[in-house]
Amino acid sequence: MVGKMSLHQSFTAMIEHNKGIIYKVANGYCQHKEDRNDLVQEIMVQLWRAFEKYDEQYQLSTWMYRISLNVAISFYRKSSKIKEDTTEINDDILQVNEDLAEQQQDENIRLLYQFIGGLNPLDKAIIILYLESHTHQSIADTLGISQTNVATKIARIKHKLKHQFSNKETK
Amino acid sequence: MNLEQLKDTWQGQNEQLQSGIKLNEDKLKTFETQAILRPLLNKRIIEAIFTFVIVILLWQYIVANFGLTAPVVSAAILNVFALINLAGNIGQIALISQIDYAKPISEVQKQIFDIRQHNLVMTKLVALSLPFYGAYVFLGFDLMFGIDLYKGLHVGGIFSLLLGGIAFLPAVIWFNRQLRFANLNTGWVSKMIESIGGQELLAAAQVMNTLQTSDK
Repeated sequence: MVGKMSLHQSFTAMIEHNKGIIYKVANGYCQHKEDRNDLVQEIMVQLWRAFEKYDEQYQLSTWMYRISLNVAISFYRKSSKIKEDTTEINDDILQVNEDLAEQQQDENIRLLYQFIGGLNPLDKAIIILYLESHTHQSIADTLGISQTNVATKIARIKHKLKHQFSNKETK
Repeated sequence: MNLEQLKDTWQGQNEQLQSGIKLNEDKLKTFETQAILRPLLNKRIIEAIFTFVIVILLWQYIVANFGLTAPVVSAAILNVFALINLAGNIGQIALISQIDYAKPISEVQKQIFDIRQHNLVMTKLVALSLPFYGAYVFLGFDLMFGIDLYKGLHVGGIFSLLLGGIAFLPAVIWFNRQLRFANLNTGWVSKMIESIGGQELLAAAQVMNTLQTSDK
């Protein structure tokens, strides 16, 4: 992994190739921009600390998801007083350009993030991994729960989602 | 739209995200800041040092006044509680330092919950020391006034002190049994846990509860 590059260069390259993971997790767990920026920062800190010990037996994206989700679940922030509707992370480590910010206003994506935002922290992790096409086994390994429980939880989330989206469509 | 269709929409973001997000490399070079548990680690280190000093002072007192006197026995009793507190703090420092976020979520969240509920455990420990309040009184009198209060007490006084301690016992047991997450629906329990461990503890308890429900 590290090869001839310095540790920091390898880390930067890894983040560059997988920045979408951090963005999606931060967006799924934090409704407000400032909180999201702080969460991105925390995820980066923990990824950097763990990077030297990265075990190549895990797929890099799976490893990144584990760390990012663990940090996001542990990241507790009292609800921000300032409400914001934007979904982009504009400053700090990850900078979102205007085109992406507009694309992210796509109704389904917006609704999906809104739906994820309403789930409990564990279900958020499950749905994000599920949407990323992780297998039930992989999700169970990441969460440390049984495959059966993962299947049950996904079924419940699907039911909730169906209910929520059908409500939106009828409105 | 169902979840399978949304999966495609979700994954459709990937290319956009790759091109639409710019990594601020300058910021990346200087991002080392306080991690989530860093303030807690600092607190535990300060607490451990403070408790260690108390343990040493109590030992010094016991050694200097060695004998079967009420203040020395009191110092020994209080030292036991201080040692438990110190052990708890050292355990917490080890736990916080060893957290590995690459481990499964259930494992990491259990550790975080244990870390967050430290203040609650310590509050219960302090409550457990209340039936021994006589120890504080005897030691306090000796340290402040150089008086061995026990020697000056009549049998009735000693008896009422003992009875007072015993009377505390069921109250403390009841209090500690009430102060559980299973009783969060009880208003005062919820308020007390929140004031002791903060909303972070309640959030961690909620995650643990979801995980435990998953295990069943």
